[in-house]
Amino acid sequence: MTSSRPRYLGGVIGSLAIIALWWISAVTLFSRTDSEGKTITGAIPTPLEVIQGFGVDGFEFYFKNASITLAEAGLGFLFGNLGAIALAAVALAIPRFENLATQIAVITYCIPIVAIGPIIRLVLGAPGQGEPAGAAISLAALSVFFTTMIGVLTGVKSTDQASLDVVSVYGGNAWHKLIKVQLLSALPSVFAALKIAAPASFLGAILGEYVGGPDIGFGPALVNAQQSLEVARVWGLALVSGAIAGLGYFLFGFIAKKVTPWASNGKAGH
Amino acid sequence: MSSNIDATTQSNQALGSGITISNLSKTFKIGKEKIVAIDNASLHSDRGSFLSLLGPSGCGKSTILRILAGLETPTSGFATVDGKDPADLRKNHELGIAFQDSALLPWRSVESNITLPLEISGEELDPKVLADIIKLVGLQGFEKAKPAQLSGGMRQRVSIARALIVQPSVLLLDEPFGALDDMTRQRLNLELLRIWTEKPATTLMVTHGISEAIFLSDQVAVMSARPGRIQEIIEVDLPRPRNIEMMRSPEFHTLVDQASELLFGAHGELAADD
Repeated sequence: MTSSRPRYLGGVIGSLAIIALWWISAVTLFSRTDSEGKTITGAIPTPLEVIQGFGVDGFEFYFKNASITLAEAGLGFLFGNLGAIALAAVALAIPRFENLATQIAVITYCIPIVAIGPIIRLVLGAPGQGEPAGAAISLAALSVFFTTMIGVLTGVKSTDQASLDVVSVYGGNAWHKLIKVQLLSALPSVFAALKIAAPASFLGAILGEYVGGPDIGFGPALVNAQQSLEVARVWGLALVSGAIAGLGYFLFGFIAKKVTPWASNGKAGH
Repeated sequence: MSSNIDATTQSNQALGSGITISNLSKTFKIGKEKIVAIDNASLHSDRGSFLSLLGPSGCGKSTILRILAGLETPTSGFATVDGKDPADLRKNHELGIAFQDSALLPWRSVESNITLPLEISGEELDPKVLADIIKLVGLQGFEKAKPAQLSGGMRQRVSIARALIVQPSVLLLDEPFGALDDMTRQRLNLELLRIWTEKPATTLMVTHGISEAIFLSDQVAVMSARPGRIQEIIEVDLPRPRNIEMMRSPEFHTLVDQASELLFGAHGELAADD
């Protein structure tokens, strides 16, 4: 029973330490000398430079790129999870099909998505100007498929047998068991999977943008910044991507706490 | 209901009324090995009486209960209540059950856990009946609580209330207080006696507690393990209504001694034949 304060404090101290380390290494290890003999930062900009970069690029720049990448990630998240849930449902309804279904999920997990990206790009074609890339949506969907399907399967299967016996003794059939017990008891595990799927879909979308060829988005923005040696902007984009992915994780953590309170405080009752 | 009373007068010993277990056997297969859980068990208890199955773990007592609940099928023989087989009893929503693990749904409140069987049977919920049962099991003020907020004993009360809400013709109790501490267990046994006196139902309880079996039951079937057999049926002739003073009576102790002797042998050795 640790209160939240020390944990919170630990996080703050950890973050400050990382920033300090970053700053020190930026001005020492990774510093270089320019043509006039002054010491300037190289591959690693200082945190201050990154923040200044945010100011220079402006909110509009990040918003424009994030909205495309988020649209791709969102659609991929939706399609990937729907597909995963549908496949899990088939596997649960027809047990004979379960091995095959799991294998399909494993394949989606094992295929290097960077390799499959160009294929999808060829199949779907390049996106129009300012449009989300089909390849990015596909890779986002692929990134969430495995975790969600396994989450649904384990969730439904880990249902307490005694609860199912109770439903059965009171005259319930398979349908009653599913809607009164199994679906609800699967929720914590499904949310745990969605929590991972949220950042995974965002990162899948960025990877998809590298090969998918959209003109706007975090992927092309990162590539442009890197090619034009805008070091601070590369770092800014990376940090914002990380923050958005993290937000996705915490958003689903928050929803899970609200929707399935019994899962998080189930043991706190004594 | 009235036709059942007629049946009672007609043939008490036959399939008419109460719990009938006839030449019941159950064999489980684990890999290539066959395990005999129940070997040719026969039993009969009258309608409205309290029957306990008492025995060491592995004697098949829970398996008999699970067969009556329709959760297992016998290898041979049959089990009926009032002439109806477990599948019919289930279909007609005539069974009430409480397990050692309360098996409550953690997302439902006490109230909504209790009414779960009605949702399954599609019966109309009578709020007065619910209130009565909540009062009977002593859960007033906890209607909206979630299982995680309750103690183990309270959860078992909920599980018993859930069994009673369907007004079952047979109540199946599988070591309902087996996981609780001794004091809670004693108190709940007294409560169970009171509840059962107020809402009498043909009851089958599975237990390994000798004195609680004697204290609560009209009949105690003492079982031995490997293979599970019914050794002897003790008729408990203590008068009803019963109270805690009876646990100190010589009659009570004679019965407890008789059961212990069957279970452990006269010299304190296990009666099992291994």
